Amino acid sequence: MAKFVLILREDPATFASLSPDEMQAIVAEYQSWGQRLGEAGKMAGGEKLRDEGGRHVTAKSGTLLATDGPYAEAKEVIGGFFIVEATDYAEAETLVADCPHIRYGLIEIRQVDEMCG
Amino acid sequence: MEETAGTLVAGLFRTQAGHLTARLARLLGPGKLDEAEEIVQSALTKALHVWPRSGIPDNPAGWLWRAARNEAVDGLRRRRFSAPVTPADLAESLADERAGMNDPRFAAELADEKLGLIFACCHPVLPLESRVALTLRSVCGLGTGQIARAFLLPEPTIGQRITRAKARLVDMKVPFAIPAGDALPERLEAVLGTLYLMFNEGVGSSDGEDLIQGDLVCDALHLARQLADHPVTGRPEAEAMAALTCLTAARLPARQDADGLPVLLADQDRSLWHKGLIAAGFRHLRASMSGPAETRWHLEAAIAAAHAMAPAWAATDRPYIVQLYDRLVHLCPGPVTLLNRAVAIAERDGPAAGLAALTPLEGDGLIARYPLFTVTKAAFLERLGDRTLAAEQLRHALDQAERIGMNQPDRRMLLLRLDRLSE
Repeated sequence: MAKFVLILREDPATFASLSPDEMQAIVAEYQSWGQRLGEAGKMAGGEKLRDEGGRHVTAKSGTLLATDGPYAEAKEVIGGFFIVEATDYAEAETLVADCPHIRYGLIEIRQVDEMCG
Repeated sequence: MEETAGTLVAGLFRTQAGHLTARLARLLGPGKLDEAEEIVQSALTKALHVWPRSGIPDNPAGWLWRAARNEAVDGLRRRRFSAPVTPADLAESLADERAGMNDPRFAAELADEKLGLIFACCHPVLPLESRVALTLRSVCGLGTGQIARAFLLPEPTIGQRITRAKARLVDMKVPFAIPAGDALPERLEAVLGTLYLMFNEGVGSSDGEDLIQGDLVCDALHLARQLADHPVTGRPEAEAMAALTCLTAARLPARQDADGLPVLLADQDRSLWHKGLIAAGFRHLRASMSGPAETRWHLEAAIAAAHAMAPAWAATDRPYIVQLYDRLVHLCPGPVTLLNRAVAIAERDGPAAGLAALTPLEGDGLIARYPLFTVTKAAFLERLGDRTLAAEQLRHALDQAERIGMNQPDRRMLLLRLDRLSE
């Protein structure tokens, strides 16, 4: 089994227009998706990232440069990530096929390179 | 993820959105409904982002309150809006671990705040249709999309109505509070009229796929009962409205057959009627008789009660129901009341009398264009044995439904009746 990181990209404005009922429905859907993966032993972790953006740090110009980075006003932010177990990309894709997130944003799937671990 | 995730009670977000909006509106002061709703929306969005990954918290309502508190305090500190309270006051009023628990004092505070918000949303300075839209949005937590679907209007129209209504509340400096003293009766009447419209649309949609819209029925019923149970607003007319909504909603389980077609009162399986709601309806009805006034809500509740009391359709006290309609026509002489009275007369004296009672309405341009009028006429004609004329009326009603609108189950029923007449 290989590990895959599911990077959850979303537009912060998308959820602002939903009604309370719609939001609760998505939470419930999300919950049952996570539970199904957990019961199948496919879920290996996941975290939500804080909304207020973070810091971008680089020393490419020779000096250390740290800037605020992506704001909530950005068109797309990374809202969080999951780590799942799958044999290959094809299976990882099947796992996210019924994740509610894909209807509101985009999921980037990246395989963890365990050769380095 | 491994932790056992809590479960969510149906409608939790909607209920808490209503509670939080009411409390925030009171704390932030007149004209700050937009800000209150914005805070609530961010609290819900936060849950949507966090819960899927962290699991549902043990006290989801308390979690939402904390999120709203942080958002509100933050907004006040950053001067995104002003309020007559300090950030510390705000934090204290919103820091409520009791949210979602069954704490009677907390519930009583919320009831006051919620009714205060209803009185603002149903203020007579707003047109009736705006009152309904604003109440559903701010008090009941329905989205503009849901309200637009309920009333079959484009979403931007509903959005505009709500925006204008809020602006009007700001202009008129309408407070979010239960009115006191002499102002109460008139303001209460405005609230009751709004709930009545909401409830009627829920019980029989004027168009669309569904015959019954459960959300609207439950919300109107709940609000009517809250008004009736409150020590200040629980005047006889509020009790009468609560009785009317309980006794009418009690029949809904028998209102549709297995195919979703509407079932007439005469043919309903009365064992399906909701006994708890009937009992509650009679309690409210008794309480409504504590004053001398007889309002239209009293009479409509009494008619619903007369049906609820009858063990069978044949055992209905028809002369009494006609009497009640006579009093109702005297009190509010509208064409719809006259139409319902004609139905009651037909039940007492037969279809020819019913037809005669419809005649004065023929000249009324508005009602004569309504499918319900034409369908009623067709039913009388059919009972008189005139199948050809009855069929003609039903075809006419279908044309009217095309123009004015009619929900799908009612439309299907019309077609079936027409088929039966043409056999």
